[in-house]
Amino acid sequence: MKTIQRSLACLCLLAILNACASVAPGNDPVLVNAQRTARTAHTSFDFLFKIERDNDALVRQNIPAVHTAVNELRRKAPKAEADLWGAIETYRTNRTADNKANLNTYLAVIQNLLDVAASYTQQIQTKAKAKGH
Amino acid sequence: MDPLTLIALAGAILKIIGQANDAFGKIKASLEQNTELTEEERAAFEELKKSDYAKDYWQPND
Repeated sequence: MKTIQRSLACLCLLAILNACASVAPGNDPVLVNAQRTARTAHTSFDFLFKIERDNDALVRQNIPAVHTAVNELRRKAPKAEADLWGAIETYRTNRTADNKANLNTYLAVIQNLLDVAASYTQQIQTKAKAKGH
Repeated sequence: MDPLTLIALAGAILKIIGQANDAFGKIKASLEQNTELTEEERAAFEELKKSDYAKDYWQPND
């Protein structure tokens, strides 16, 4: 449990630092921030999927809706990541307003998934703590 | 303090240091990531994703 808490704290710190980190001169902030978000998203999904599986029985028994939702996220995340990276690459090679707007669309999709992932992570952590795991 | 306790304590300290280094390493890497990814970094991240997608805990189990 302490490992989960420590990891979660690190992830939160990482997310905050990601949001606050500056962009080096000469680099495109749109691209740097999109790549950061994509990396943070993958790390966050990986963390959620691992703790959910590590607490499989507990989650199934106590918060079955979260178990179902995390499995749905397991199905959606790879495609959402692939779509985002595709949009990043399209923008990187051709930095037009249209491609930037397209990138923002996929960033919004991944941000929504990140929001629900954070909620599920919190619920699993709370339940595991209550059960003394 | 008896030798066994001392060894256990040293082991615990080393474990904590290892975990802290790992966490700070990730954060440091993130902070340093204030530039666009190079082709090599993009390729490395693609490999990481592929590797993660193959892991058991990335597969739905309903």
